Amino acid sequence: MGVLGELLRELASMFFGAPRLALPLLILVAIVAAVAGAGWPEIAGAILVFGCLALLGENVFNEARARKHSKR
Amino acid sequence: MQIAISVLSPAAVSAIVSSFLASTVEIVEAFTIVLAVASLQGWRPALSGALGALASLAAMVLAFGPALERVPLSALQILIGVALLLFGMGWLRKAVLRASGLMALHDEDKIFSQERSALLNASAWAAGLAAFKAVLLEGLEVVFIIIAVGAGRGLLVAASAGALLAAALVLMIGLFVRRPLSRVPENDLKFVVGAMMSSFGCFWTGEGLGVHWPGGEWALLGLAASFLSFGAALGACMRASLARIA
Repeated sequence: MGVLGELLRELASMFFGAPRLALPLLILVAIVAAVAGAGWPEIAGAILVFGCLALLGENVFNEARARKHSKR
Repeated sequence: MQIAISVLSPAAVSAIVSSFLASTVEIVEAFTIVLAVASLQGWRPALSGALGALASLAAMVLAFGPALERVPLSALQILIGVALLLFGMGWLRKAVLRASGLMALHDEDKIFSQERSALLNASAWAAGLAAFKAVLLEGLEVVFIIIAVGAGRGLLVAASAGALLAAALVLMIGLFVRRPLSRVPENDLKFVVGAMMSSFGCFWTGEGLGVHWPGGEWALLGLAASFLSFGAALGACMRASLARIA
């Protein structure tokens, strides 16, 4: 069970190691799916690319702010 | 001729390069633990554990690999695309945080010493198990990378070739120097791989959802460049901002 448990934990951390990034990414994909499904695939592609970059930036800025506050 | 053309396609080149770089990171990490076991208990338990893990990974691939063939292509693209996005963006985030000094860099020498201390009084069986777990856990990521990068587009051979090349290179250098490979620029590799995996994830998620990328597969290179340059700019910006505060 020890090795299996670690294996499952490793699998989960591969994708959800940073839940504050993973969850918004899943929401972004759902939005992109809705936009593409509504017949605007080009707009959906742009939302996907710029959304990913924006989420990465937001996550890193938040991480920096949180560490700055914890140092005070 | 057809094989040569498919090997030279941007997707195939990206598959080989990203699989090679990502596997290098994972194999270096596994090698550190196997080396720590070997330095304390000899090569027998270290190699037994490592080979046992490789056999388990092969069994997993044989058991679950054929199931992927039955998944419809668009569903497979979305499934793997989203998994790659989560995986790649996670690596890219970590690489940016490390580059900006917000997170400590990965240190193979430190991990080697910690592993040796933990195994100091361990039996040969426990040491072998440690090698088994390390190779299994890191190998699992390599298997995911190969499947994610190669499945559904006929790139499994290209992705596997990249991983095999990485394994051969790391093992050759590792067995020659017999020390943890701490000089491997782990964070730079993670940066590039994170950007490439994210671009694959974006591309395939989009394709699965009906997005027609401008330039077809060539869009992969543009996406990778966008993720890489944005990540690098973000890292530099955070580093400068932290330096101002300090």
